[in-house]
Amino acid sequence: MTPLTNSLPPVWENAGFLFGFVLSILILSFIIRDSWLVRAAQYLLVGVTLAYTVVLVWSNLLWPRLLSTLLANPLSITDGPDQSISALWVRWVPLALGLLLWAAGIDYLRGGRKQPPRAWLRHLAAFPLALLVGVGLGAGIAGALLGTLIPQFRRASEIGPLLDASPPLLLATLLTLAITGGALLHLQLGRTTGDSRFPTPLRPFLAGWAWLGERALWLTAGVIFARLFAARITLLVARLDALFFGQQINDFWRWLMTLWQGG
Amino acid sequence: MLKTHDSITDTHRMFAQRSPWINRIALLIVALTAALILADRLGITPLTRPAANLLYGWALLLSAFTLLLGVASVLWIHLGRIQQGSAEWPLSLLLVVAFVLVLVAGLAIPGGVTSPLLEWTFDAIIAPGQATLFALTGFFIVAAAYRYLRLSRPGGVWILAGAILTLLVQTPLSQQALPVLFVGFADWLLLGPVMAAMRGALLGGALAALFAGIRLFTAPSK
Amino acid sequence: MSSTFGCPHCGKANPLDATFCASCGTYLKGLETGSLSHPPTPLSPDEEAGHSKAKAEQTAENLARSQPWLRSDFEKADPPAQATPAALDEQPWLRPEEEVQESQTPPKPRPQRLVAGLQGLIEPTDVEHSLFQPDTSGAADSSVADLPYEMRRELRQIFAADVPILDEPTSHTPTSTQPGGHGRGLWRHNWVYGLLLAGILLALWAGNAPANSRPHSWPGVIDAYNAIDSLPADSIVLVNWAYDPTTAGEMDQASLPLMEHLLEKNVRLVVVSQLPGGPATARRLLALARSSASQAALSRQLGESLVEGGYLPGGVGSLALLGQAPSQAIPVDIQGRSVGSRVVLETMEKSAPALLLILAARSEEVQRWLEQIQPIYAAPVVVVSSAAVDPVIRPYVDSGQISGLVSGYAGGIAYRDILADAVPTARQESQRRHITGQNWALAVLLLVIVVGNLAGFVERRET
Repeated sequence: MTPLTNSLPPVWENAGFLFGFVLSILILSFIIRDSWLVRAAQYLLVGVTLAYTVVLVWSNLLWPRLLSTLLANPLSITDGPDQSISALWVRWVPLALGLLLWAAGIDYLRGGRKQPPRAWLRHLAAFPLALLVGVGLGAGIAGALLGTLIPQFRRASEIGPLLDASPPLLLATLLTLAITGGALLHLQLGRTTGDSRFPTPLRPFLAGWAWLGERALWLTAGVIFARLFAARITLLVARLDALFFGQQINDFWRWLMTLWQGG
Repeated sequence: MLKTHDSITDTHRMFAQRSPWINRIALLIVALTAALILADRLGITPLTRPAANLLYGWALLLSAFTLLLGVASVLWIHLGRIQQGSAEWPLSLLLVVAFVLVLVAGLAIPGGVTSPLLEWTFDAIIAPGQATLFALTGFFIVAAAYRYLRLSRPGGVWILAGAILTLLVQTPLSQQALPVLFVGFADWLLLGPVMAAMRGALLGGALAALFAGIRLFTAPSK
Repeated sequence: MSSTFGCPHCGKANPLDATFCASCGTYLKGLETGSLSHPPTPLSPDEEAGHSKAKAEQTAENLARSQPWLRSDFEKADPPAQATPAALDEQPWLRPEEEVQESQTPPKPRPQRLVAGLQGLIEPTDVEHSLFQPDTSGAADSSVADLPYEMRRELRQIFAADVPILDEPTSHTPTSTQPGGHGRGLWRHNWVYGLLLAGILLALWAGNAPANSRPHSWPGVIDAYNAIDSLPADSIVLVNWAYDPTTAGEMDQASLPLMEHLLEKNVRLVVVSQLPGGPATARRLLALARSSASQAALSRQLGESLVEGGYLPGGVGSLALLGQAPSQAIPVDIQGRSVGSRVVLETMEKSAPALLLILAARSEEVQRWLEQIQPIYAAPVVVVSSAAVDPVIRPYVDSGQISGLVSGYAGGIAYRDILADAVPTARQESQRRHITGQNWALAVLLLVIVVGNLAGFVERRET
């Protein structure tokens, strides 16, 4: 276990390791056969994880940021740096919107297909959803522009260094530029570079450029596969090592032997 | 980009199931919110900063509410299975019982997820369970290699070439047997052609997300 | 008759008048007429009322035939109705990835998700038993230019790292529960699993890699080291802990040396996570790093030096708030205590952190941080990532947005070698076992690839 559970009795540590060991073996048995034991382990894991999330969201977000401050002082000015915004906007409005979402969601769950959800609730719940969507959209578009498109286009189109570059570097840079364009072309247009949308003289050039991009993407897929293999095998090796050869299993066996010998 | 795509599908779902006027008002809210956020992020005017921060704070709290709603919907499904005696209802019961036990322990004991009991739960159940579950993907990727890393597949030669080269270089035993030039070539491959192809993919994805977002406002309910 | 129909792309039930699929966004309007080559003719109001009812019934009937999982008696039915290819033939752009195939089997029904919409909790739980069904499109199709739909779907699952939870009750389909047991001969993958498991267990037991054996260090590790080593004492480092126990087996190995280095540099850490399991994972690794830190470093790691910001849901919105108003984004720590008045957060309000550190097992997390946080703070970024993420984020390294990159367990070993710290014996032994495990796993993989290609060659000759 970790230093974080030190306040529990020592037997809890070994019991916890045993629990985790058995759970892991059950899940690993999936590769032999998907039995009810495997599914029981999965369902147990999901139930515990769901509850952990609820506790986390409640204790780290909803209670300290929203409900406890509202209950303590409902109409206070926010204690944040911007003192001009009252608790109404910072806390009451999101609370109301959140409860509206819950009401609509619970009404939908209760009704389902047998009974249509209340239309007015569903309509009202559109507004908090619209807020969420709008924030995500705005931040997403701004981020894509500022964080990816502009820097990557700028880097891809840098030709200043080419003027003084040595021939190998020049060749490498031109190849990089060609592959970037070819990959973009292939992904956007696929195999349609030869169709009538494009002027006839341009078609062979575009087709060749997309061909280069396609090959580069295939090569990249192979490299990604290899790196993915490294990542997944590391997880598997680490897990098997921890289960059968790690320090914890040694400590556990030692504890078991002590228990056995101690009577 | 992922979030932008999620936002777009959420919006479509909203529009598909409501009256036109509600849709228009909702779309107006989406547009105004997105415009304000964009104006703030692009630095058009500093006056939008307090409003933008307020909206971010709302989004954070509303996400917490929607998370709990998601948990409730999963539980509802399993409670339904238990009530109807559907297939595997005992497993659903196990899920619900485990949920209730951990929830009560977490809410009743001070400290939330940092209480010793919840930390123990994390170490004994969540961490080993999740780690083992994801470790299974190691088996599946080797099985996938059997089916897909074949010369006869489209692009098979190129994919195998990239994969074999990288595999040999990244594995300690084989890397020691390779000439230095080979390893240097693998580095160059990663920093040159692979990087360039990924840049093309990144730009393509960003452009697609951008145009999808613009399309949302030009033709939301066609 | 059902008042919904299933999306041809993902199978989700949508209202009959839906324009876009609520799940995947596929354009659905074309399905109503069944054929886009026949534009609808104008009708009288009476005809229209009758026609719309008939149309709804016909649409539902057509689509219930092609998506039999929508039938109320689907679970009791024995073989599911064969989907008609007519709809897909006439609207080929509705097929996944808009590719036209010569002979296609329609998409298999997707099961309900056991857990849906919980970010980072459990990865998407798409059914995986179809992953190991034999290629029924025939040996001749292996020479077809494009992969069949099922195979592309399987590849997507692999690259998206879907975990294999079967969340459909399986009592009525016992044969589908054998993950590797489908098909004939070598199509049954049990031999692959057994070989890999045996190989890795033997390797871990032998642990015979030479003590100085090292994996290749991919470019970026030295830059990461320099970026951290140049930090002055008491500087602020904002850490995005974007991994949880699912990937801790790899990410802990990569992150631990950097955490130890940061503690030795006596910096002040602000740790946040957008995954529910992230804060707990962070606490454990930090506790481990502190257990091996020097006494001098430990004596300074109190109170103000570490702010555990906890869990921040909300995706890009909360990240932007973290960049623009950190004290609003983190008013309390993971234990619910107020941190708004902490000096480190007040300092972050006035000036940018000295370093942004991203510990991520997925490329989306890195991308999100670079798009939302870095444009605001304009601070150097060091990324510790899974090996699989490395090629995907190389463009950001090339453009200078990422100053240093440590990827995978190999990156962690390389970083520790640069640190030249004394490694405890137990950890050295563990490292040797890991390296031996990687070596033997590669041997198994190469054997599997060779056998797979031979099998493909034999299958082509037999047809």
